[in-house]
This record gives sequence, structure tokens and C-alpha cells, in this order.
Amino acid sequence: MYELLTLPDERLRQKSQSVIQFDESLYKFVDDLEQAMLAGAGGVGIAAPQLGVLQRIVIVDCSLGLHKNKNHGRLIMVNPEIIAQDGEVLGREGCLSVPEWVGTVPRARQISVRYQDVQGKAHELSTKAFEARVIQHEIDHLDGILFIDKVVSTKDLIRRMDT
Amino acid sequence: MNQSILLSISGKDRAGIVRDVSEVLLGAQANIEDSSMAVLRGRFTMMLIVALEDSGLSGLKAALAELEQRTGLTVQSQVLSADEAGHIPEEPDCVITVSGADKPGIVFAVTDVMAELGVSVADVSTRARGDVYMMALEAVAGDKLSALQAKLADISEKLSVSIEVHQLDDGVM
Repeated sequence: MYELLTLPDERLRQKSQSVIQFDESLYKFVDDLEQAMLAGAGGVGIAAPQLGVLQRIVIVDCSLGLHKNKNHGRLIMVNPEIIAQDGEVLGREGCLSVPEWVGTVPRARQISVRYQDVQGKAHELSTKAFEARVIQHEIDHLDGILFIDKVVSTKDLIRRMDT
Repeated sequence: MNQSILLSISGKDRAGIVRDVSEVLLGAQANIEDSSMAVLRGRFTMMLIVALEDSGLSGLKAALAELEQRTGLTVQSQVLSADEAGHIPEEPDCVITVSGADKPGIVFAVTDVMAELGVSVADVSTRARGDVYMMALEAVAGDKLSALQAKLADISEKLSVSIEVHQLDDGVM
């Protein structure tokens, strides 16, 4: 079984490798990853490095969100990559790996993502608002970036308004 | 037993204030829990909640008096009730940004409608630079959000300032 890593575990800060083998062991891991996401309170997404597996795999399911939102249901994304983004919105984020902390984070309002499914088939998806936020948060995990690196205060917001 | 003490410290800004304060607190065996500091122009201010054994209170007070004497900082301390110390404020669910030509009454107009609706300010910063005024507020609006948006739209028009309300969707990711 995998253990959900929390700060200050160094593995959360490492860059994950692209998945090249789409086989049984990948299917098995994706199941475990989903179970870990469902086990966390209010979890709407998870990334492989949160279980200490440094592979570019994320799962997002915004239908599990506390608030009603438009979403594509459960998305399993292997080697996801943001290929276009537009706009900026603020949201409040928390993370299974950073328990007890929430912060205001600016994210692109709208994104297009290219990714592969567990069979290795390529897909493209465009989405906005909450689901776009969650995907950006999870992809950041694959590069060792946590939301706490991007939190803005009211002072920061004023600085940004000024530019 | 541990007690929680609120310290408010202010003075002329310079490098080393936080160091001086934390050195004194360490010496008095007061543990810094929550803290926040700000510098406005040339003035420094910070508030801290420190935890301390009951028996350490007089030692802390003496150490803070010595700090005031030595550094010229102003220090106020207050023992918190268990209720106050254990109170965790609600997380904000929206951010309001205001910008426009500076004129008297912007902060009042915005916070007046908030107070009327019972919407609490979680954090606020303002800045006046030349003729331009900017304000960013975090608020706990709950189900009052759409009422707040409507009232702020009126104010925006009346004062001819731009007001944006950003609803914060949140989740555990």
C-alpha cells in the first residue's frame, strides 16, 4: 500500500518522469491512486508524487466537489501538458499533502490540456473555472510545485493591480 | 498550564526588529504561534500570539519592558481568554478589489454595505499612490454574496471606482 506524503517530504518537491509503459502495473497504480484520492476528505484531485511515485499521472474528479460546478467527471491524465491558457481567476486551494492549510491562489481561468489515457491514447480537453484550477494544481505537483508557492495576500493583490 | 498572550509591537522600521523580538521571546520561553507583520511607509508593526507557561508571565513582561527601553519599540501585551485563544476565524470565500481615483469615503462605502449584510472582513490592504487608490479585501460572504455584488455595483457607479468581486471556489486537491 502507498502512503500519502505530506510536507515536508522531499519527494513532493521533485520533478516526475514521463510515463512510457502503458501496462498492467500502470492500471494497478491508477486504481491505488484513485483510492487514495477518495480516502482524503473532500479530495477532488491527486497526483502520483503525492504517493511518492514520481511519474506524470494525475486524477481529477470535480464531481466530488463540495460546490456544484461544471466538470468532465473523473479524468485520468497521463503525461498531461497545458497547451493553452487564458485569463486569471482567484480561488481558495487546499491540498491533501499540505493538511490544515488553505490559501488564495491565482490560476488561468481557462486551459487546454493534452494528455494520454491509461492505454496511451492521446486526448485534448478544454475546460475552465474550478476544473481548470484543479488540473493546474495537480500538474504543478508533477513539477514539484505546491500551491503554497503561489499563495497571494491582499498586499500581493494590490501590487498586481498596480502593474 | 499554558496561556496565550497577544503582543502588539510597533516602531520605526529598520533591519533586525523581528530578530530582536524573537530573541527576547526565546529567552522568556514564549513560543511564537500565529503572527503577522506589516510595514506601512517607514513604520513597522506586528502582532503575535505567543504561548507561555503560567509561571513565565512576569519574566516575559520584564523582558518586554527591557526590549522597549533598549530598542524604542512600543510593546503592548494582553493575556487572551481560552475562548479567544481557541477561536479560528472563518475562511474567506471572496476577494473584492477596488481601484480608481482617490476620494474620501471609498473604504467606508464598501465596508458599510458589507457590515449592513453582516459580511465580515477577513483581511484588507489599501494603498494610495498619487491620485490612484487601490483596495483588496478578503471577506466571508456566505449566502450574502449576490446581495453584496448588487450593492457594490451601486457603489462602483456612485463613486466611479472599479469594483470586482471574485468568488473563491475551493477544494482539496
